[in-house]
Amino acid sequence: MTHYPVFNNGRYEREKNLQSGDVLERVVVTGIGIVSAIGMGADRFWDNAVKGTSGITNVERFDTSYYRSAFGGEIKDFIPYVKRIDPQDYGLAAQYAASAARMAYEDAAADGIPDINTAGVFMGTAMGDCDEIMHDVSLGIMRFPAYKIPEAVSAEVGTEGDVQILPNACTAGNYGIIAAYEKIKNNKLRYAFAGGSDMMLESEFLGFSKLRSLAPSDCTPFDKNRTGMIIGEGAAVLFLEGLTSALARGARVYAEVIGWGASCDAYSMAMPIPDGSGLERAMSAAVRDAGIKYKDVDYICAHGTGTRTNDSAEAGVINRLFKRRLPVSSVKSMIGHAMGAASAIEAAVCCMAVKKDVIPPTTGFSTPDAECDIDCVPNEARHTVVRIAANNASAFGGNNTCVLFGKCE
Amino acid sequence: MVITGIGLLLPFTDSAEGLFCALKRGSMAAGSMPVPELEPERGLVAANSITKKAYAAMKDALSESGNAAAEKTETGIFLGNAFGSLRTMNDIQEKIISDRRRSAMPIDFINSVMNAVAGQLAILGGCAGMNLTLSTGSRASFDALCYARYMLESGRVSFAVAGGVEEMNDVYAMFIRQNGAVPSDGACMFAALRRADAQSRGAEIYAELIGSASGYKPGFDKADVKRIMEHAAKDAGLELSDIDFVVTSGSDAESEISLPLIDIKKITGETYSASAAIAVAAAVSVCREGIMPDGKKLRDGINHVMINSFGFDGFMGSMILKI
Repeated sequence: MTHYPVFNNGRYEREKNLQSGDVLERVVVTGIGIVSAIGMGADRFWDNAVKGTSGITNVERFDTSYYRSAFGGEIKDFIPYVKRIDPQDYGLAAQYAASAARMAYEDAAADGIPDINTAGVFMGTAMGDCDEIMHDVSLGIMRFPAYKIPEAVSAEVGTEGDVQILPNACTAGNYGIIAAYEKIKNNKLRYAFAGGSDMMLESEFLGFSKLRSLAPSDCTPFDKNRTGMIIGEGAAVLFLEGLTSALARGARVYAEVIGWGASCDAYSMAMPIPDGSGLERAMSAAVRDAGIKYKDVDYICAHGTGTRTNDSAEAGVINRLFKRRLPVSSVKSMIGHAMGAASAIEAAVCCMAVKKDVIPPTTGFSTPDAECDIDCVPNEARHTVVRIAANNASAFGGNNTCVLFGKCE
Repeated sequence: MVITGIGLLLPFTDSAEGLFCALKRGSMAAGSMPVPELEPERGLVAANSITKKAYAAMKDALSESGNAAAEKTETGIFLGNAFGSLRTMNDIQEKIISDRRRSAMPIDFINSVMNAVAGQLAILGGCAGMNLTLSTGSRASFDALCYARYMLESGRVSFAVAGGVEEMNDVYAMFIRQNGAVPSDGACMFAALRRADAQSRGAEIYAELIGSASGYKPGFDKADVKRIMEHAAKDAGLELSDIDFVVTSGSDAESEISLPLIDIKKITGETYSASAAIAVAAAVSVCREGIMPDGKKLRDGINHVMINSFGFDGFMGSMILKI
């Protein structure tokens, strides 16, 4: 068993707990559900991600002729994977979330947990189902509020615990996981469903076209000739519980959440601060929080949007902090940028990389860029021991988060 | 966590004292409020109307807090907001539907994202600590305050700007009216820090958040209200009988609380995600005056006040303030 510091949280709380003798719970991921352009469910998603399968296709949901790109990580022929809720009561983002939660529930064998009804729900989103009021206000008004996303999850998995929605753009999934982690760690909650969900919106195509951030066809993070991002969609939900509970019921553990950090650039709404100092503060806070060294991190699941500014800033931060060429990959090259779901899906990637000792590739890579001088695991998955994986996410509003996942075996 | 500054904007007042006067008068004053006139500064060009309202409240809170502020990288923003980007999103969607896409500006899209207000506040205030938006419906600013408390106590931030903002628009008004309430604008922000830091910096302490409890149950009943209130009191190390008065959220399920009550929504209308923060401001103003709006005198010394947030959307919360 890998041993991490028990008091692996903020310094004031650490002092308080050392004084009071309170024992903090270790938090592990025992279930994963994913809805994405390369497959539903953790196993299918992972198989395709490791193979480098592209989910980028021509967008069919709306007319893209006005925009810089006609391509996206669109989920085609989606059939909600739900057993309790009526999908008609919810928008698409909530349906994605509920489906991912149902998968996580089954993946964790949560039906065997007697008090699973006490679980909390912590979900992130960027835009939610705001599209619902675009076409039919009278119907949409009941389906568009962002809290309908965690409500759908709660109703689908039959929980009675608290629910929260944290709409922090592209860091939202990480924030959902952080919120759940803190509750379980502090023994306020035993179980939680946490993640993020978003649907592809035409307003995103309009907005990112105006910002000249959309790639015409391919998303090629860290490549010298990268041309921007591709918009995606989907959801990921992790089932988190205390290690005590997981051991007692003999649950399969994917990974342990061992620390996190968050910051804000306070610089620009849409552009990362060029020196990457905001992301650097979030990553260094996460490493401090976990009580590890930079050399202990074996893999970084990058924010890696494929835009010139994001990728060069992120690569610069990684090189400054880690001072070595550790594997860094971006699954956005395969599924596009799923906005509020992105960091939740990438958290699932970290958990599976830690569990399976495989790193999915950055696809479409051909030309190294001196401004992104990192090992981006080009085009082919890599089999290597992953003891600790870091999940980076940055967002509109200057938000940055980093969540660390470690082996627990 | 202690509060050392309050910024409040309502359609009928821009101060906690003004809110107390309105509570004494007792007449409904809900509605829209004008966009505040702010001194020109870099960054305001990109701010939409709701951001300006939140920023005006934030500036007042920081001004009241004086020199209690901390390093910018340790200053976090915790904002409750449910419909903040809705007006801008509506504008964009109308341009798409009516094929006027060319007239959409990049800043419109940026302001349509749900965390846009908190991001803009961070830029305007140079707040580079963690930046969190909560959209838990009617309980959003309640959650923002609870997160601020937790992040302060766990050392994640040293100074917090926390509160809520809501702004009238057609969809928001329809949503609130469909749920039987009177929609209104509101912005309320607090400057907050750890008690020891406030004392060492000589800041005036308005209130301390000492306990809370929350839950979610569409169609909650009186028993649920009682359970949440009891949990909040327990979290604060108190009994319900120790509470001097409760600022209620006006739900039917709160009607049998056997403690002195203040229902501010009869005056402010439904400010939704800002409502819990406004209730905190109301509690501080009542304790400063030393009398309830109905004229009953509060006991001398420290008062324990419960702030309730029980919304038609199923979000439940109670917090305890020591004032």
